[in-house]
Amino acid sequence: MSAKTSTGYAAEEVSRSGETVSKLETDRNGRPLVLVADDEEDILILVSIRLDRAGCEVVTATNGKQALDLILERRPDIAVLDVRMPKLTGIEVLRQVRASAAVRDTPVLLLSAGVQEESISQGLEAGANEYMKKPFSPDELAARVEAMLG
Amino acid sequence: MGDSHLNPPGNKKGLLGRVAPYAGVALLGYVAAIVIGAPDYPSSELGRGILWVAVCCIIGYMTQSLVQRVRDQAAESDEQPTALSNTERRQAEQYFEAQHDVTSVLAETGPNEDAMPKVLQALGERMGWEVGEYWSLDEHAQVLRCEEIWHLESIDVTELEATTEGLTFERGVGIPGQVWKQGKPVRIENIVESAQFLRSSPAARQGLRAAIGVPIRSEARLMGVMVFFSREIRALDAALTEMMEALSTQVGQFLERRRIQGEAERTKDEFFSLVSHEFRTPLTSITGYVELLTERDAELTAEERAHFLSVVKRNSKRLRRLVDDLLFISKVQAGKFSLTLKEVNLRELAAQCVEAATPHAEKNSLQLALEVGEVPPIVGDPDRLGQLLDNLISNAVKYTPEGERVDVSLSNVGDRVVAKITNTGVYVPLEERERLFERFYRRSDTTAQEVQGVGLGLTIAQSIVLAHHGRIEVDSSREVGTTFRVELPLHSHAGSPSSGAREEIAA
Repeated sequence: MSAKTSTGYAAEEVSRSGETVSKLETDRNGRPLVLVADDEEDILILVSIRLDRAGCEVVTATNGKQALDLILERRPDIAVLDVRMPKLTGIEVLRQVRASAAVRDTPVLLLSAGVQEESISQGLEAGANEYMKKPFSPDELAARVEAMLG
Repeated sequence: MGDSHLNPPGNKKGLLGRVAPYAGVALLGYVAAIVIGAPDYPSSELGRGILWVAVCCIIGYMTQSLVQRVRDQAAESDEQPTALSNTERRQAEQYFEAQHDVTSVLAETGPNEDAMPKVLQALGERMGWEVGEYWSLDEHAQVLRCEEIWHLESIDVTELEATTEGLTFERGVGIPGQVWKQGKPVRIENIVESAQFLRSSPAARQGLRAAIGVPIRSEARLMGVMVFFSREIRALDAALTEMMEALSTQVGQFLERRRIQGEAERTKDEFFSLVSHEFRTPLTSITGYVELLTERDAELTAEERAHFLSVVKRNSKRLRRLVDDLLFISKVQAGKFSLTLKEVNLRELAAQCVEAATPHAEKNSLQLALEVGEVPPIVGDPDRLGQLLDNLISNAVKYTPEGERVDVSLSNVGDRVVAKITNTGVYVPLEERERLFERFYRRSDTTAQEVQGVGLGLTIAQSIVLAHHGRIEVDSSREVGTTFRVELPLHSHAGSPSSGAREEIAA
C-alpha cells in the first residue's frame, strides 16, 4: 500500500502517512485524509512530506489502479493524482471516481508533466477541480489543497 | 510523291485517272494471255483468239477488282486516320490536361489540406464525369471506406451520399472492391445491369449509367480507389487506361508521402511531449526538495537534510544524462561525432555497468548476472563503450517484468568481442524489432509505455557500435525473451580512426 522506497527516511515517512493512517482513521483529530498518487517516488514523497506538514494525513499509491482502490476503500477528503501513471492514468482514475456514486464528490487535483494543452482540458472535462503543472511549488500545492478543503 | 499516294485517287484524278487503270489492266491481261496461251492448244487461230480474249477478260477483271480493293483499303486507312486523329488529338489533349490539372492540384495542396476532393473535382470536370468518389483503404479492417464525394452542381447526390455513408466494401465487392481485386482500371457501361454495383438505384435516378474505377497505389500497395459516374463513359481504350494508371501512381505517391510526413509529425509531437515529461519530472524533485530545504520555519534533522540533498543530486544527474543524450544524438545527426580511441577493457566496463544497474534490478526483484570469458582488450572509445553497455543493460533492467532475469555475457569470437544482453519475459514482435533503433521510437505495448525514457537509448547504442565498425542485432522469442547482441572488432581503427568513425555514422 505504501510507496516502494529506497531510503530509510522515506520509508518511515511514507509508512507514517500510509500504513499508520488506518490506526489514525478513528482518531485523525479532524486531520483531513489526502490520497497522493504518482509513479515517481521522489515526487510522491515530496508531496506527502509537504501535506503532512500542512496538517494532512496522507495515503500514497504508485499507480492508477492502486489509487482508485484506495479512493474507494478509504474515501479520502481529497485526491492528488499524477496524470501519467501505469495501469490507469490519472484522468482514467478521475473518470471512474466521477462515475462511482460512493466517491463521486471527492475533490481531485491533477498533476501533469505533459505539454499538451488538451490534456488540461481533458482533465477539467473529466471533472478535475484543480490542475497543476510540474514542476510545481510544494507550498503552492499545499495552499491549493487547503483551499479545496475549504 | 508520298502525298499523292496518300490521297484518295478518285478525288483529284478526273477521267484520265479513272480510265488509266482499265487500260493498264487490259494490257496486263493481254501479256498474261500470251504467256498462258503459248502452248499450241487449241490449234485453230480462232480458238486461240477466243481463248486469249477470255483469259484476257478474266485476268483483267481479277486484276481490276484486286486493284480496286487495294485502293479502297488505301483510301480507308488513309481517310480514317485523318478523321480519327482529330478525335484522338482532342482526347490526348483532354488526357494531358486532366493529368496536368491533377498535378497542379497536388502541387498546390497545403500541408494540412486534403487533396482528394480537389483531385476528384479536377478529374471529373476535365473528363466530363458527373460524380466522383474516393474510397480509402482501411488497412486494419481490410475494407474500403468512402471518404469523399464530389459532384456537379446539377446532380443531386443526397440519396447516393446517404446510401454510401457508413458503407464499406470488401475486396471484390461492389465497384470499389472489384477495382481493388483486379488491381487495374475498371469501366462499367451500365451500372443498372451490373451485378457489381450495389447502389444502382440512387445513381440511376440521377441519370448516371456508366462508372469507371481506378486503384490508387504506391508501389504495389493499394491506398484507395477512385470511382466516377456519368451518363456515359467512353470505353477503356489503351490511352484512357494509360492515363488512369499514370494518375493512380501520381496520386498514390502523393498520399504515401503525406502518410509518411504525418507519421513523422506525430513522432515529433510525441517526442516533444516525452522530452517535456522527462525534463519536468526531475525538475519537480529538484525545485521541490530545494524548497523544502530552504523553508525558514522548517525544522529539519541532519538526516532529513542529507536525504533531501541526495534526491536533488540524483535528479540533477538524471537531467544531465538526458541533456547529454539529446546533444549526442544531435551530434550524430550532424555527423560531428568522433571517437577518442584507447585500449578498452570491456570486462571492467561491463562489471561497472552491471554494478550500477544492480539496485534497480533488486528493487524489481530481477536476477542480474554477468558472465565473462577470456576477453582481450579492444581499441575503442571507453566513454562511449561504457555508455553503450550502460544503455543496453539499464534498458534490459527497465523493461524486464518482476521476477525475471537479465543476463550479460562477454566472449571472444575470432577477431571480435561479442556482448550479449538477454532479458527473459520480454517479447518484441518482428515489426517492432525493425524499428527499435529508430530515433524516438518507443515500444507500443502497455508495460513498455510505463517505462520512462524518450526513445533515444538504442539509437545511441547503435551509433556507438557503428562508429566502432561493429554490429548490433536484436533477437526475440516468446520462449527465451529478448537478446541484444553486439559484435565489436578488436582493432577497428588501425588506419584513420576518427574519420572512419564519422564515415560509418554518416552512412
